[in-house]
Amino acid sequence: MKAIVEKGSVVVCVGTGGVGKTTVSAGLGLCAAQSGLKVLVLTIDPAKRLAQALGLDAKPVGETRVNLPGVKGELWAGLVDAEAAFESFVRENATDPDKASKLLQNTLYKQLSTNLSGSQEFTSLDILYRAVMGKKFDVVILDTPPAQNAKDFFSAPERIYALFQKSITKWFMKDSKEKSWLTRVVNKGTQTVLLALEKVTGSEFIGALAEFFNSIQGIQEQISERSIEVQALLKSEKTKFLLVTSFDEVKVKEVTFLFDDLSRMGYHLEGLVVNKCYPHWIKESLEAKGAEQGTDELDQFRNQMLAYFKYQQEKFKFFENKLQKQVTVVKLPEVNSELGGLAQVQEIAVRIDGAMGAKG
Amino acid sequence: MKKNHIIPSIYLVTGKGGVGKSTVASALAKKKVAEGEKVLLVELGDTSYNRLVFEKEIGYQPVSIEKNLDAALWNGESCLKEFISYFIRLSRVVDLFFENKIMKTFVQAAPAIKELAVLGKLTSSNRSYGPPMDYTSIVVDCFSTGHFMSLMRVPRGISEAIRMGPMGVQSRNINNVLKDKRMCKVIVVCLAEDLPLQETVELSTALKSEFDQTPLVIGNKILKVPITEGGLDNLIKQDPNNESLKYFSDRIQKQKEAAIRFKKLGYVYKELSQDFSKRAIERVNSMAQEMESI
Repeated sequence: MKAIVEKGSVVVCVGTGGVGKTTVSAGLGLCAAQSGLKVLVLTIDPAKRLAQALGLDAKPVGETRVNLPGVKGELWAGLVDAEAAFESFVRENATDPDKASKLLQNTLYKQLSTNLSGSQEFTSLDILYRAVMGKKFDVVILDTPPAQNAKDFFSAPERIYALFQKSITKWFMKDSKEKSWLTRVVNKGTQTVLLALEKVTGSEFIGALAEFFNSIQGIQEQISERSIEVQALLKSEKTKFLLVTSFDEVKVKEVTFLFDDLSRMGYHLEGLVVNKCYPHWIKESLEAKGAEQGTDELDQFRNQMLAYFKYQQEKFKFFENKLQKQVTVVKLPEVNSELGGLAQVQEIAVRIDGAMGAKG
Repeated sequence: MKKNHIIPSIYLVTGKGGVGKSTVASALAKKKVAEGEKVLLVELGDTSYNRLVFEKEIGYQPVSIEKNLDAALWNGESCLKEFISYFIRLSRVVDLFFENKIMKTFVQAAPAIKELAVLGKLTSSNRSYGPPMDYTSIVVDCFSTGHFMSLMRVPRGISEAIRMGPMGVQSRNINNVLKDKRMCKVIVVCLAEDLPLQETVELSTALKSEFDQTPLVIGNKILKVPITEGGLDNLIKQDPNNESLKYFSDRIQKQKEAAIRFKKLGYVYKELSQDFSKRAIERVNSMAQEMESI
């Protein structure tokens, strides 16, 4: 067994929405705390019962220690409020407070600060970065914002970095003596296309863009710098990625593509957690001699379910064998929803511990 | 410019991650084909999920899945490119637009442009603006709840900020199509579980207040256990440690609660059953059949 978490580890849990990333992150955190480590789990939007279990329901500022009697280490939880954090990043880092206020009121900024543009990801990474640099914890685990596609997380910092590049903002700088924003664009080709854009969108829109780019100048360098630092942290040896996915033939196929992409990009993907593989009662039956023989309708129904999950398991074997050469694969059942909260986290911790675990 | 625009019905399918949006969108598209419509099934983003379901490469240009059903994958950049090429009929400029590295970064980075390009493309036939498409129904497999609302809010946000000029006018028109119940319908896919349920209620409330849209709520993956509740209770009494029976009872309870909750809120709520067909495409087909009956 290879320990995914040890002193000094940074773990980033990625995956699409609805796969149970938050519970898995908490489970891994608990597992590490049980081995004696001081762990921080940074999470976004946990379910109510989980938030209560982690002591995050009252929206606390900063980190809260989870009350775990009998556990050797410490488990701490922190809530990532992306929108508020992005705003405070702007305020803290802006060279000029007036510019910061102007930016925060800009209509286009409001589009940017929603979850479409990668600002949520940027902010979570900024919070992760600060937690790691603070050195208060042995292990920091980040539960990332739900993405349309697991890959989106990795392109987000790049997207936000692109936005704050000087090459674009300089087109719109106000303090330049030039009359038109176009004459500042050095490249003739760029000039032509900007004119085309102005033609289809109108000068008002271009004006709004100019204002937007003008007001982000104050935090441009800070964002660029932080993006670079965060990238370095993400690609460092101590940062491990854990991919959480649901048990769906098509999604599992996607994972194999993602794995290749991430390795090529220089990230260390070390674990794959396939969540909600089968209802918790099925595993035992699958490993037993097969479906029970039944005559009535309910038995038939149960057998149909068993056959389905058995087929899926067999299909999955193919990918599992392939992936296992590169990563640790953990399959988790769909746990009884009545469990909820900490009990569910504990159940997951036990299963994770058996497969990848932690080293105290 | 205003030639041969068929006004299509637009169906926006959303829901929390993992609820089966893509399957519902594909099944709905097939159902519409069965009703005699000519349908385009659209995915948003850079990676197609349907390519693995239909076993066919899916890109920006529609590809045929079956008779009267095409599929496409739209992202902001490709929608914008088509739009620009339609209005600036100089291929030199268009090529420059997308070969120019700084421009690429700019399109990627500048807020609102990509979102407007996608929604502009989607509503182009309804607004008789832009390149015509000849579909009678467009089914969009949209982003999950949070991202979906952000996307929907872009046109209004922009039209409020920029009142004049083409951008202001087009944004306002796009927003009007999104608010028009005759042209645009929202379907929220949900599971009978706490989190998806909560998100569905929040989303529906926001859609009602901001777009005057009352979505159709689909309860997906409903486990149709072939036994009465009383019968199940009796079995559990006889065999209290049977995990599968407890699981069935738990699911039935949650499904009932979901239906009651949505009914109380006055939503149109339809259930689709969890299907245990082995392949994804089989699950799409059987869902399309089940839809016909509801």
